[in-house]
Amino acid sequence: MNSLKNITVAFALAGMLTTSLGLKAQIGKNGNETFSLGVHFSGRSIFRNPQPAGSSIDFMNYLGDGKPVQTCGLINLVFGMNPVPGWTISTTLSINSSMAPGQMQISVMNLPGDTLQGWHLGWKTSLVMFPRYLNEFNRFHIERDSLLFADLNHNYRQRLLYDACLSVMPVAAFRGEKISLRVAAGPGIAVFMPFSERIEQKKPDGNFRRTITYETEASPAAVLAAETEVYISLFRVRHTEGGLLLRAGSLLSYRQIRYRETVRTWTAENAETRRVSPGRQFSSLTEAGGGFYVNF
Amino acid sequence: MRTFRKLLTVIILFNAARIFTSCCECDETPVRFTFRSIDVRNLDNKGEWAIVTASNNMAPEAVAFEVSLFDSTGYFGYAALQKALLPGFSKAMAFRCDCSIPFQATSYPESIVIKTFFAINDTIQAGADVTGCFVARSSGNGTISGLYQSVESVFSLARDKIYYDSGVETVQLFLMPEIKTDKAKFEISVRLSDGRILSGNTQTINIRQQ
Repeated sequence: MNSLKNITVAFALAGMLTTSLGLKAQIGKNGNETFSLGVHFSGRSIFRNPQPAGSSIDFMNYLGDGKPVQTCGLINLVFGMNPVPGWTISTTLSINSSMAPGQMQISVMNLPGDTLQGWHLGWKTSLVMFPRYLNEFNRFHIERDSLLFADLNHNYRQRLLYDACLSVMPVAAFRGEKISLRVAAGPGIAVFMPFSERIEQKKPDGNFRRTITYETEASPAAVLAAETEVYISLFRVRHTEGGLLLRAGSLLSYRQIRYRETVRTWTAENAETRRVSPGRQFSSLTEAGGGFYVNF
Repeated sequence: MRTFRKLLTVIILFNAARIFTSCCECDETPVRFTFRSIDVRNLDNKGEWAIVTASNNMAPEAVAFEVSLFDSTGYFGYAALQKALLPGFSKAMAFRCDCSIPFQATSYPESIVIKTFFAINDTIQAGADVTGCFVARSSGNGTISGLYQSVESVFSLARDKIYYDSGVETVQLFLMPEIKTDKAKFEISVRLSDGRILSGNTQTINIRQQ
């Protein structure tokens, strides 16, 4: 729930930021402000290298449907603006099959001289936050604690786990008559938003009860981010330009979810806590898609 | 326009009147009562949750009881009386304005002593004080879900407690060690703050050895 609140706050801040800058752009003196709107569909593939179950739970093994590769489709709405020449601020809201704008990306790019044709160099800072489903992590206990009622909570154990990544990338851009190209790649840092979960157990034909509480940590990990954007201009009317937008991006990292595990047996006072740091799993996110854009 | 405003005023006043009349001031003054009786019932704790049972058979690791303290003229007593004397529909009782009646005991349970009639294992012999071998749960008191509390902490929650709709203090007791013999029976004594002691015995439990 806290993660959801953070997302909401971030969206609100993004909205306030873009709104205030937008107002500033509208009252600017140089008259060079441009805005862009875009919509595109993309396919996303998330790969991770699952690890064999050990004596402690590894939440990474329960991301998605438990398979090494997960795929999904997204509808992306892009709003961007250039408040001053060379600077671009853009926000992307992505909607998945649940039709909830659960993912966002905010980026700030500095590309001096990008209104001129030819090659340009600059940099880009990007913050992306997207949800990942953590499904049926209680299977670990059902398999390990077979002599107990391994989970007294019979609901489908699913929660949203937000993954946030901040990256800083050098950008190489080419602006032609009909085609513009941007390529960026660079390092970043990714964290999973912390969460807590509890498993309640009881012995059949016995009074024995215990609870296992997991409180995860942000577990930061180094990330290699890369993205490519291609704009193909199809029409230009006065100051309005529109066309096709092609986008592809990737995030590569070794991820883990560290946590504190507290086992309470019989009573709350009888507790033992330990920190668990599962091994890092290679994880990659690849996304590619295309759509339309309008600059005005 | 004027007609519309008048109509709106009438509708608002009508609804406001409804809101005022639907509000009800409940009398929060507690009705005092005294714990005079104790009842001990068996719990079936073989499954995921404990339920009251009339069976005297229990698993050696699932010995559990429910202890209830109540005023002999409390609702607990009335319920038993109605069932015995009035066939057919039982008497319907409604609280005015849907107010729950707050009850407060004149004395509260201060401590509990549990003694065993039979040996539990080689180290716990017949007649021993086995209070420390039990953990407890109290209905209606905040606790970490799924876990038990110590017997002392459950009874400490009963001090100055306000009971709504029923002046019954119910505590579930769960034995921690496994019973190694084939029978079990306990005497449960609750000492109240006014010095009185309410005692009750469990049934003789047949331990189903596995």
